[in-house]
Amino acid sequence: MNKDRQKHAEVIAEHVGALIGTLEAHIEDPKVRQEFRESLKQLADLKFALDESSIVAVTDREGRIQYVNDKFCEISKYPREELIGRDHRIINSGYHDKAFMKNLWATIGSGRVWRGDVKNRAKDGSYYWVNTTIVPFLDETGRPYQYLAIRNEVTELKRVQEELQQMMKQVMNIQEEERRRFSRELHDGIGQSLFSLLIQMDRVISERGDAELEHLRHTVSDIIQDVRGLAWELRPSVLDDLGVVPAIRTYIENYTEHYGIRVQLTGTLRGRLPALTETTIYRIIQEALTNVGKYAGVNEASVSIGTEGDRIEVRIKDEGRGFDPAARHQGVGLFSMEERARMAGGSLELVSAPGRGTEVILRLPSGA
Amino acid sequence: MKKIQELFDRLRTETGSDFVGIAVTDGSHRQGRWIGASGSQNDRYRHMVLKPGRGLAGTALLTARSVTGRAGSGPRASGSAECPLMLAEGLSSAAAVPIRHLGRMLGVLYVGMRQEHEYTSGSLTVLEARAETIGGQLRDGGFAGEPHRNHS
Repeated sequence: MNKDRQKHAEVIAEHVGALIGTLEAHIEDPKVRQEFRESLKQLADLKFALDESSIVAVTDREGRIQYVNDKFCEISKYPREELIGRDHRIINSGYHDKAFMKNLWATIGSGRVWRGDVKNRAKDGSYYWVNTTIVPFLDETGRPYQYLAIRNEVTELKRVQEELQQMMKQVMNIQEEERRRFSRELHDGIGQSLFSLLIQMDRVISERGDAELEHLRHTVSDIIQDVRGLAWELRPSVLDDLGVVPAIRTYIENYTEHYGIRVQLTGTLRGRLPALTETTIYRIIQEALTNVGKYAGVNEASVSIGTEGDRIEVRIKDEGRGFDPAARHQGVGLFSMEERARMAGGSLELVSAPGRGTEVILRLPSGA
Repeated sequence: MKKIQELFDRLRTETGSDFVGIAVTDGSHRQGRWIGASGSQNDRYRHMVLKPGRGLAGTALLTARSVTGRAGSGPRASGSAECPLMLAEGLSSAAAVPIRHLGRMLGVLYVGMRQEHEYTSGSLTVLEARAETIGGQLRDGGFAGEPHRNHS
């Protein structure tokens, strides 16, 4: 084990052993000598601990690999001699875009520490994720002359995160499907049955006018309204039949009657959009307005839906209490909005500050 | 119009509440509107439609019984998250009492407090007696403000 590690250039703390050996000859004061010895030994131990725990690499200013530890070779499946002198492109997975790499180099090039998760490719073509910290070593003029990269594998963590995201997506799809099914069942099943009951009652009433039956008829009519209301709340059929804008219009009417908050709706869409896109827009507006109703403390809000080229932009805005988006609140509201936007190939932006109101901006490809 | 507001203000003083409002049904019992209030912080109540089961007032309308609600999230909290009027007026506790006349449901008397307060069964009894009187006044055309419409 130890002998193995001695076979290649160490680069970092390379001559510690030899230096300790020469202390005797060069430093007269035994106290100072002892302190030097201890410090050097500590340094060597520290490096040993680092090698034992992490994937370590050292590169020169240009990014050429000068040193890799055994763990680096193990995970990248490259023998040491194939790595030394090359740069990190050898393990580039192609997953990260140019901007990502540019930011990395700009950070360490200016002497600052860079941290992030990187996806790499091993020699056999398999991929692995590493949580990476790159520390620049600076010369007297403050310019980096060497970079030390310390990495830890987080492939499993990434896999679980992705799985969780997939799961979330599935849960939302299932929820939407269930809502659609229940809504239709209520509306077309029970709703229709009750309606035909009403027709029959009307026939009996017109034949022999019965005050008590008249009263019952009112009750049945009330129940029909309740059932329809329930079906609408689950998922408005108008969303499937006529599209998101008419659905939102009805939603806002009901919203105002519930919360007493007036909502200005502007803009419109040209024609119909894919079902997923329409559902996403509807649910995000619904979620955002519900937050306005519960937390913003305002009398009015606004919703705008606009198309720009092949992109759709939806904005839900209020001038109310606002909050600090960095301090993530309880509840899955914001998280599920972001997830919904991502699922539809879009993004969600949240602009808010305490006392400064809130704006939720949804951007989506129109898919047309 | 001013006279009606005076009626509401007096009602608020007499019930010792921070907020008081009256909603009147449209005869079908399916929905109602707030015909006036006192101590309101905004005009949200004017745009609200009272529906059976919606919030404290809607529950009073549906069950024909008095209900109370408390804000917050303790074991003693109830109804505030579901009650749009408590939300809109920032009430920490509220009570909704059905207004009836000769057994017919006419509307709801709603009272609320913005600081810690508990509506006991005793105070509900007083409010119910008061609602009884209001029921008679409503029948005789008292409080006869035009229900507010949405100004859209």
